[in-house]
Amino acid sequence: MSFNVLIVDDSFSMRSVIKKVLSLSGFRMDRCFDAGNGREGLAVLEKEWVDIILSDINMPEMNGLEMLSRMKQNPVYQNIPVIVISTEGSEERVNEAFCNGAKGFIKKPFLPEDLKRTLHDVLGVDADGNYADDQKGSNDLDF
Amino acid sequence: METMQTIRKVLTTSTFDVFEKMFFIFLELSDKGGQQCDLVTSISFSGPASGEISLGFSESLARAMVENMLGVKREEVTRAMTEDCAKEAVNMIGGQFLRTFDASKVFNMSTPVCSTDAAADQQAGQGQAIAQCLNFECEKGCLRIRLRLRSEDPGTSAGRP
Repeated sequence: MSFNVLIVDDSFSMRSVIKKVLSLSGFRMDRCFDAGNGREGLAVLEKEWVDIILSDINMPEMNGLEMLSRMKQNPVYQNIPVIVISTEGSEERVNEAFCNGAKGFIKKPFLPEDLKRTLHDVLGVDADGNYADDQKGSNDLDF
Repeated sequence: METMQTIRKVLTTSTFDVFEKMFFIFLELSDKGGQQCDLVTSISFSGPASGEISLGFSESLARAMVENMLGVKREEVTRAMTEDCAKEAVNMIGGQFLRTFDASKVFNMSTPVCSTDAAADQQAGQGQAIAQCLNFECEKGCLRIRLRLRSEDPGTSAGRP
């Protein structure tokens, strides 16, 4: 199984770095979409199937926490896992992100290993790089 | 005085960390001041204390950051890429500095902006005094960091040299 990823960050450079780290880490990525703020991120979700979102917090127009809050209110989007990647790191902000539905939190600056580890934790990948969904028996058909 | 020493130490280690992890550049503290900054980026913060952190880059250092972060060749580096990397650098240094200084406090950070040395200096007259000025260098160029604090902030001795 491979995943469609949405990267939301107002910095073109940071989006590029995250995309490059994902590619080099062996993460099974199918399509990669990007957006410059929360509003653009929600617009991508309206048109494309996304399996996981990596989002900054501090962005113009709509920040990452507001995007999370909007997603939480929508039954179609509320189960898409979101990993927050941000310079924000106070205990209150981290708690706020998790309360709004974030599944992981990475503080910038980060190492490639930090991103890979958090992705694996959130998506349920074991130490050998096997995805939980790949371990299902052949009788476990998933429609 | 002790607070200012802590601020200096946290700002220095935050800068090293960001440059090593994200730009693969190993800076050293320098005692050479008054160097020409070709690009200045700054970010404001507010909360228990408020002020601004600004980074002044030599052109060569700013270009090296883009080359290393994005993996592009020198001739492919554009002004937009340079400004974006510089703004992300001040964003990361500011964020790491504030959360390391006190993770129990919430600070609101502005969107980073690019400006000139003259514009940054003009702002110093608007109730913000330089609390720290650090100079760094490496073979790629030089970096100057200024932390300005609003003078009414208690406990930080802003404005004291």
